[in-house]
Amino acid sequence: MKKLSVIIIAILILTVSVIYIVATETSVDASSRAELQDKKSEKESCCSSDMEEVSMSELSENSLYQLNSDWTNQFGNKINLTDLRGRKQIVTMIFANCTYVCPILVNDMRRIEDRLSKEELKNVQFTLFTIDPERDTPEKLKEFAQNQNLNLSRWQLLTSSKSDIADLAALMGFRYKKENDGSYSHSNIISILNEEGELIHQQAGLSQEIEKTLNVIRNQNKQGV
Amino acid sequence: MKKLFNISFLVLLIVSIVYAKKPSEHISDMVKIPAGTYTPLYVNDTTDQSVQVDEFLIDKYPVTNQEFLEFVKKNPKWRKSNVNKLFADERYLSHWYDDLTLGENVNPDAPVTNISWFAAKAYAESLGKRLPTVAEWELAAQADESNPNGYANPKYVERILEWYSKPSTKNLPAVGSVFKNYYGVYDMHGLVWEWTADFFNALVSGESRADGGINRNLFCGTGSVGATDFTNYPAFMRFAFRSSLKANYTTESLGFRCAKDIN
Repeated sequence: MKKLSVIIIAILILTVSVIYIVATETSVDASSRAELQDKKSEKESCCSSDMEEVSMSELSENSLYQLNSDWTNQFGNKINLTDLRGRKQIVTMIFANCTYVCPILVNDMRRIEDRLSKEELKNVQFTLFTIDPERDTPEKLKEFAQNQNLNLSRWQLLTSSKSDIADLAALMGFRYKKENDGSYSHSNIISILNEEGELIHQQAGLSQEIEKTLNVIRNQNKQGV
Repeated sequence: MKKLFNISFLVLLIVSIVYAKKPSEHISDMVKIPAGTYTPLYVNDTTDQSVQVDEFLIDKYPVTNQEFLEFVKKNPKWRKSNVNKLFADERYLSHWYDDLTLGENVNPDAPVTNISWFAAKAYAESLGKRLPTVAEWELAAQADESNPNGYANPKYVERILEWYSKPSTKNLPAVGSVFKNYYGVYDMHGLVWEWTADFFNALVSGESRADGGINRNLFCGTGSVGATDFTNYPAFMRFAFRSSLKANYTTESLGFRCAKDIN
C-alpha cells in the first residue's frame, strides 16, 4: 500500500513537472514568435523591404534616396527620404547635445548659405540628420535650430530609427561612435547631393575652404565626387 | 515516509537536471552570451571607454551559402544581377554560378562571403535578427574552448595570429569546422572575417578622412596599448580591417553571423 502511494506521488510530481516544462517551452515559443511578428511589423529599413515605387520618375541607381526611409522633422512631420528630391541638398549629421564640433559644422554650412544668392538658394536645402535618435526628439531638434538661428524655410532637421540612420551614414561614408558619456565621435563631412539625391561632392574637415563646394552647388551639371 | 521523501526528492532532482539541460537560452541555432565588458582596442585618453554589453544571442555559426541562397530566392532585389551597386559592389556573390545557383565549386555549408554590410543587415532583419555590434562580437570572440577570456592564454592569441597570417583560401570549409568556444559559438576566428552592425565606429577621431590625423590617432593609441598588452594585436588587425570597410564592400574572406536582443 505504502509502495503504491509512493509511486503515485512520484508519477504526480513527474506529470506536474512535464506540464510545467511544456508550458514554459510553448510560452517561450509564443513570445519569440510574437517578437518576430513585432519586428516584422516594424517599419523595415531600406534593405529588408522591397522598395516602393516612387510616384515621380524612377530614381537613379546612385540616388541615396533609394534607401526610401522614413524620417520625422523638427515639427514632428513625417517625411520620406525621397521627399528631398528636387533641390540640391547640403547635408551633414549631428547630435543636438554636441557642444563643440556640431555647431562648427553647422556654421560651415551657414557660411555656404551666406555665400549663395537668393536666386541660388531657391534650389538648395540644408538638412541635418541626427545620429542620436534617442535624445533628439523633434522638439529637441527644433530647439537646436533656434539656438543656431537656422532659417527653417531653408533648413530642416531630421530623425529616424537607429537602423535607418546607420544606412544613410554608411552611404555617405559618415562614421560615428557613441562614447560612454553619451556624446558621439563622428566624421566632419558636409555632403552635397544633387536634385536626384546622388552624392556629388563632399567637404571633409572643419572650417575648410568652401570655394569648391560653392562651385559644385552653383554648377548645374553633375560632377564627380 | 522517509522513503517517500527520498523518492520525490530524486524525481525532482531528475526533473530539474532535465530542465537545466534543456537549452532554454538557445533560440534555435543561437547561443546566449552573458553580459560583460568590452574594452575597445585603442583608448583616446584617460576617460573610461569600456563598453558594457548586455546579454544577447548570437548565431552559433556564420551564415552559409545555402542559407543566403534561401534569402535571395525570397528577396529578388538581393540577387546579384538585381542588386543596386550602392548596396553591394560588383564582387557581390561573385563566387556563385548565377543568381540562384551556387555552382559545383561552392560548398553550400561554407560561410557565405562576398557579402556587403547592407546585404548582411537585410538578411538579419528578414529573420527578425540584427548584426552584432563590434562590442558584442568582440566579447563573444574573446572566449577560447574553455575560458570566457581566452586572450589570457597566449596560445589562443598565437593561433588567431597564425590564421591572420595565412592567405585566404578560395574554397572555404563548412561552418563548424574550426573550433567551438566556451559559449558554444563556432568559428569566431579562423574561418572568415565578419561584418558588425557598427563597423563604422572605428576611426572616427580624425578631423577628416583625408588628413593624416586619423592614422596618427590610430597608431598613437595602439602604441600605448600594445606596449602593455601584446595580446591585443589581433584585435588591432580587426580594428584596422573594419576601418578600411565601406558598407557596399564585398570580399571573399568577409562573411557574417546574426545576433539578437534578449527580450
